[in-house]
Amino acid sequence: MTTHTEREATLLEVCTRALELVDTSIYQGEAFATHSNSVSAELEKGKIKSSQSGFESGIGIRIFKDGSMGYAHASLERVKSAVDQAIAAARAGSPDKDFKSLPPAERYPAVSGTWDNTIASLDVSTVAQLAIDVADAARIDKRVDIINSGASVGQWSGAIANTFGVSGTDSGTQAALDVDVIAHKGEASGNGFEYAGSRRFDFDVDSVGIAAGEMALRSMNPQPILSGKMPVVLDPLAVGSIIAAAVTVSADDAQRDRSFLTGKIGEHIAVSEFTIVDDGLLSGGLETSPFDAEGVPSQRTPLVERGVLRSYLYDSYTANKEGRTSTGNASRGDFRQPPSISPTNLVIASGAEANVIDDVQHGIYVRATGDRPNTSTGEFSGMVYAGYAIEDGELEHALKQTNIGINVLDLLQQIDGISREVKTYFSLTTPTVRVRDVSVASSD
Amino acid sequence: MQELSEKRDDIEEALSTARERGAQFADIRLESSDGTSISAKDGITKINSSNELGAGIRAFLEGAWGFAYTTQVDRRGMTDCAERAVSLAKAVYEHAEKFSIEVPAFEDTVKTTVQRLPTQVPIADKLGYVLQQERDAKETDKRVSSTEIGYADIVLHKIIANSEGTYVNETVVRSIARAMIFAKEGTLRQSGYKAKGDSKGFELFLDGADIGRTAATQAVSLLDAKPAPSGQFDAVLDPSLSGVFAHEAFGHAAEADAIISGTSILAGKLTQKIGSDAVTIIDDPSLRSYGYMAYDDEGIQTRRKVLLEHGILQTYLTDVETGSRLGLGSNGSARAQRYDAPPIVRMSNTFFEPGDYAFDELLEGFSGIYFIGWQYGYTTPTTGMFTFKSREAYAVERGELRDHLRDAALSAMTLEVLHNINAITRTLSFDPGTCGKGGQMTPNTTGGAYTRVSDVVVGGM
Repeated sequence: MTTHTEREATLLEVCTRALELVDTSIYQGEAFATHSNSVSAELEKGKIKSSQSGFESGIGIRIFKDGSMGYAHASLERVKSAVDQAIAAARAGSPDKDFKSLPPAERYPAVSGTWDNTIASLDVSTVAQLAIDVADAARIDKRVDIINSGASVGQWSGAIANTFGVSGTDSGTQAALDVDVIAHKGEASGNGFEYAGSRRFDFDVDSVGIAAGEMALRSMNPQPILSGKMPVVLDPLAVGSIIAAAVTVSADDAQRDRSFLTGKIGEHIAVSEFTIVDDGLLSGGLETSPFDAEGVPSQRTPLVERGVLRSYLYDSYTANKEGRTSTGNASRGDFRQPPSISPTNLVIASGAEANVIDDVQHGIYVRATGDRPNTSTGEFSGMVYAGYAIEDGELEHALKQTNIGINVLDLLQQIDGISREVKTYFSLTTPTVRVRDVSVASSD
Repeated sequence: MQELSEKRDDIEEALSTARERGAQFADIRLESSDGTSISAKDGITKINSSNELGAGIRAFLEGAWGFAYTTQVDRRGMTDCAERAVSLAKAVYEHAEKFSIEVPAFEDTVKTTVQRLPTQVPIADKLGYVLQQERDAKETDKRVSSTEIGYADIVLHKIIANSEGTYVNETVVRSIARAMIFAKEGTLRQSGYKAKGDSKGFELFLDGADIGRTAATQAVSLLDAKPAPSGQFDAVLDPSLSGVFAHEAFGHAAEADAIISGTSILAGKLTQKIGSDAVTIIDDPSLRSYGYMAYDDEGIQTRRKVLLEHGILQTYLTDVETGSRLGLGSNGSARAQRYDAPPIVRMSNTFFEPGDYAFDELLEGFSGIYFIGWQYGYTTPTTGMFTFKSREAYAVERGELRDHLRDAALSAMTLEVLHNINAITRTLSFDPGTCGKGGQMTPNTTGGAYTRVSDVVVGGM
């Protein structure tokens, strides 16, 4: 059995050899190689439907000639053809005077909580059992009659090197669990779901299942609400799709003047209780690693600090364009894609309130919306995918055909309650947030 | 390009190993592909060249599937992979719902008929097209502030074989280009979008496929647009949104895996009248469009499927498993993103049959909102409530276009819309797109004509 440290050494060796094929008097080059394997199981109506295992390895080669980028990927047996193709692609493209250089070699910080030996040794039966257990936990009531669930675990090792001496390796584990529930009684039905993701095999399976079951029951018999301006309480999931999506701005969009937050660095864009940090070093974070997808050390970057917009997300290209340093936000799905800018782990600071619903006389609670803000204009207009009326501080009926609309710049200034308790959904950790005077309209 | 046709003995060895190890059925998809993608942002290009070679193997045992894949496609690699697939099925089948499957066998070789195979087109020609679209967009108007053109092509060779004797060798070619153009005036920013894609080679772009200018014109025109009103309105959907309705709101509900998992509003409704006489919806993988395939990813020959005919639900989209369990048989609707993912029930080219109205007749006396183009959308499968955000819209009063509107959303219940569609125009048009399901992306086409529907909920700011 190969250990992950041995695998890292092999992958780094492959990267180094690939770069030996690059003429550094003409080109800059980067090689990124990974090896991953995973096991998953899927349940349909509480019964096993399928199980899967995958393992794959590959290398992605990025070549620059006068700023023109060529990229190619291949399996580890065909490294030379990937290098040749990336060079040919770089030669074909147009030069870019804004491109200065791939990043230089730097020391990498230590990270913690990203590897779990338990996950690395799990077999498919254990993973299938997890999916069965979460389905069992969701069956909290006779009305809960359809449960579909899934579980997966995986591990990966990776290495990166470039022609400026960058050289790094990393490994990690990950586990994920999801459950979808439908409750029925007569003609009424309700949907519930819950997800969890972790670096460790440490799920509280019961609470994941119960949350989905309770949501399905609560979502039955939806009714419209009287339209008007009212307090809106955003569940952590909704905070992610509305607030976090709006304030994590790629420097590339800012530089091309495509974002509503272009030119607002240093401005007070939110209430002073609001702070959001991009933290590539968060212990146990799903996006935690010592370095980003182009070998820049990961870091902790305040994006909005006590209401003041502090930073966009940078990779080395956008950073060089402004003569500053990268924030370590180059990222890639797998070796098939060149890096692009995206957040790492996002952490929104918790607030002072024990309960953000208590003081709401008449308002709504938004559990989830499928909409997202228009990041050019900052406008948000969306249907409540799952949500509930709040009356006298209590969650009441589910909402039917209800739309909320507000500009994110107003929303950030109208936050008037942030919970003490936080919740982590994959790579976002956030409190529940209350916003006053949001337009809410229901139609029947 | 790897020569796949020499692999037949290795493939058959892997399949018989799976049977010997206890699989009741096994299949294999061996894929080799060459693709190029280009992105150009404000004149700066990035070129990505892609080669894939791999095989995915499934083993079936009493209602459970095991799936494994490998990039080592020699006899040893594929046989090992087949053994892994069988062990996976064996490890979990005791917890599965028991059923058997019926798999018709096909043997065929399908060659591509494209005129200009992308692998034989110089990269300079592809770049030339992309950069021309950028220039066209920039020249459209001084207010065009940022441009982004994407281009992608793929030549995909597949062998699909199974333990029942299927051996299908198919080559699929696809090309697509997309333009996303931004415009700015003062502090106002807007964007426009246009795509063109088909199961064609580079000839697709030789007939003046002018996506840059179209997207730029839309972006600039939206600078003066107003926010949409909120409330209940009658609506006209352009062909692009009609097609998205056929796919997102209706089509996904007609996928048989959703019927079996209890997450579809169409369960139990076969042969029932669920829509108005004006509504006929087709899914046709055999149509030469962006979602074309002669055989599906289980090696079943594809054909035109009339899902909804004059409002009556005729069939679901089925694969081998769901077709066997529902007693309908597979109608060739299994697709996988790549060799490393198992096939699941998917749409291909999904569209409304055109009606007999002219556009002017459709608008005659109409008051409401006319929606154009799709930004994004989502559906609640169990209730059929859907929300689509359009790219642009117009308020219409008694047949006259009034205010130009931005970011207008429409929301309604699928089954109500099917009943409330009261007119469709004569001219059918198609849009290429990408559909995501179960973490797998596939190329799809949506199509339709102009569709008039009463009583939808419109949301704006």
